[in-house]
Amino acid sequence: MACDVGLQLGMHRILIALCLYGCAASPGIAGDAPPAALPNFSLPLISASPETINRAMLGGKVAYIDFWASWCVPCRTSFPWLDAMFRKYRERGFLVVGVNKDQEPAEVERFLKRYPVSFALTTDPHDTLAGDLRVTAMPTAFLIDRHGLVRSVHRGFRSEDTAKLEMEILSLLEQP
Amino acid sequence: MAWVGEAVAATEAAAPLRSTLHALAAAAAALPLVSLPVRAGQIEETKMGLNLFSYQERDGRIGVLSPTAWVQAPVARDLDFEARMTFDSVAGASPQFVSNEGGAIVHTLSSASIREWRKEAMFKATRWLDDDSLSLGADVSSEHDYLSQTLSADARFDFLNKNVTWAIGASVTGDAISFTGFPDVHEKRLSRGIFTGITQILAPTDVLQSNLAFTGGKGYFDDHYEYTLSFLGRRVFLHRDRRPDTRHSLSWLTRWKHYVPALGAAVGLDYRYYRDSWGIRSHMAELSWHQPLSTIWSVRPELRYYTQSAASFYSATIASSSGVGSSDTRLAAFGALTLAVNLSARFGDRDTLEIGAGRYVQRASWRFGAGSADLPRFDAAYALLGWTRAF
Amino acid sequence: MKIYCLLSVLVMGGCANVQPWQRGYLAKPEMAFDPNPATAAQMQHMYASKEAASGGYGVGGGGCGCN
Repeated sequence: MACDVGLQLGMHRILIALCLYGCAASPGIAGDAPPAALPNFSLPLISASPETINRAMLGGKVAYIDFWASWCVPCRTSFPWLDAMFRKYRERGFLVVGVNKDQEPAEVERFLKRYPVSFALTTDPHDTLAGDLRVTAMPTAFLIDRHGLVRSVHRGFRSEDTAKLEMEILSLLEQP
Repeated sequence: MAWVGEAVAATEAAAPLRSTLHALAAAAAALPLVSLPVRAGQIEETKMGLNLFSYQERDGRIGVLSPTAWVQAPVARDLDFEARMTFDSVAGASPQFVSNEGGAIVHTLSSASIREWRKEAMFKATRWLDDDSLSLGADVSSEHDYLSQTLSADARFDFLNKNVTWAIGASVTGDAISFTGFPDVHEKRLSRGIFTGITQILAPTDVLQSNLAFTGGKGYFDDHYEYTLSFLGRRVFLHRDRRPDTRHSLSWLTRWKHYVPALGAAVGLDYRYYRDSWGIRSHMAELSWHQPLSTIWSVRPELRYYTQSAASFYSATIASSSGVGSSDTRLAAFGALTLAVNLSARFGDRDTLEIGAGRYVQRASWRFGAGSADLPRFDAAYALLGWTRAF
Repeated sequence: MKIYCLLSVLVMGGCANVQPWQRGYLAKPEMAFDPNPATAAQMQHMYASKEAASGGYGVGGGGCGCN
C-alpha cells in the first residue's frame, strides 16, 4: 500500500480540524466568566458530614472559596497560608471554605494529614458549585464580599502573590 | 485598586443582596480576573534529577556508562526553564568489517578496544502567553570525532477548556564529522525537521497524543569506519560503507495513557510508524503497566516490539568497490524485543527513587516479514538508577 | 491509511469535555508520557543507535554519531 507523504500530511490536518470540530460540538464547554453574585449552595462538610454549609451561613462575612484537590501541586503551598489567614482574620469576619474535588477520599485524608487546616472543608459531589461558578483551573479561589458578590477570581496559586491577596482580603474586610 | 471603587459604587447604587440588573452588570464588568492561569503542561514546581544509565552489549561489544543531571523550573510567572547534561563513557568494540571469506557472513569487531566519551547539553526556555506557549531549545552533543548542534522552536496552543493541545515545531541540526587518523578530512551534514502533534484528554482516565514528524537531511551519512569484503565467485571486492547524501523521513507516533481506578494502575500503549527515503519501513509498539504496590512502591513492567525492513542499499555482500552500499546491521531487516521492569519509590511529596533493568534482543527471524539473511543475533542489557526531587 | 482512519474515528468518538477538577487521575506522575526526562532521552538515544527509525517524540533531540 503506497503511502504518499503529502497525503498523510493532508490527512493529519483534516484530523486536527475534525477533532476540534467534534470537541466544540460536544456540550458543556463552559465560558470563562463566573456569575457576579455567589449562587446559593449547600455542601456537605468533610469533617462533619452529613452536616452542610450553605450561602446563608456566609452572610455578612468576607469569604474565600477555594476549589482544591490533593493532586493539585500549588495547593501544598496555599493551604498553610490560607490557614494562617483564617486564624488571623476570623475575628474580623473572614471565612475560608475549601471545596474539595478529589475522586478518592483516601487521598484527601493523606493530604490533610500533611497539611492540616482549621477552616471549613466541604465536598461538591455533584459539581454543582464548581459548575455554577465556572471553575476553569485547579486551584481556583473566589473572594466574596460581605454582600455575597464575587469580587475576584484567582486561578492558580503562587507564594509571590500572597501579599497582594492579603491586601485584597483586608480591603474587603474594611468595607461594611 | 480602582476596580474595588467601581464595584463598591455599583453595589451601593442598589440594595445589597438584591442588586438591580444594572448593578449586577456593572459589578460583572468591573470584575477582575486576577488570573494566574493554570496552563496545561506548565511547570508548577522546580524539579531536579540525577540518573545513571548503564548499557552493555554481549560478546565484547560496546558498554556505556552514562550519568545525567537535569532540572525543570518555573523561572517567572510566564517563563519556564529546562536543562539536561549527560556524559557517556563508551568502551568496547563495534563491527567494522563484514566479510564472507569462509562462505558464511562474518561480522568482525574492530581490532582495537576503544575508550570514548560523549558529552551532551540541552537547554529549553518556554514563554507562556495566556494558555499558549512558545519554546526555544538548543542541544549540543559532542564526541571526539563528531559534533552535533540543534536549534529548535515549538509552539503549543490549548483549546476547549484545555482538553486539546496542538503543538507545532521546527528544528535545524548541523553535524560535523571527522575521522580518527585523517586529521585533514572533515564532513558535514545539515538536517531540518518539522513536527506537529495533538494531545487530547478523552476522559478523566484517558489521554491520547499523536505526533507527526518529518525530517530532511543532506550531507554525509556514511559510517567511515565500516568495510565490506565480498568474495563472489573468483572476484574480491573491498567496499567502504557509502550511503546516499540525502535522507528524508516521516515518523508518526501515537501514545495512549489509560488509568484503571480499581487497580490504581496506569497503562501506556505507544505505536510508531516510520518510513524514509532509504527504503526503510518500521513499526514499533510499546506497552507499559504502572502498578502501585503501596503508597510508596510501584512496579512498571514494559514490553516493546520493533520491526524494520532493510534499506534499499543494504547487503551483507557488495559486488562493487564503489557506489552506494552498506552492510551496517542497523540498516538490515530485523525484529527486536525489549523486556524491562522498573521499580520506583515515592518518599513524601518530594523524592522519587527509580531502579530499572531491561533486555534488548534483535533477530532477523523476529521481523514481521522476512529478515535479512545471515544477520547475527544482537543482545544487550541495560540498567538505570534515578533520583528526582521536587522543591 | 486504514490505521489512520481508525484513529480519527476513535479520537472523534472519544471526544469528551473533561472539566479541570476532573483531571486528578491525569495529574498523577505515572499518567505523564515521560515523567523522567532523562530516562526518556536515554532510552531514545539507545534505540536510535541500534535501529534505523527514530523520532516522533518532539523537536530538538540531539544528534548521534552513529549514523
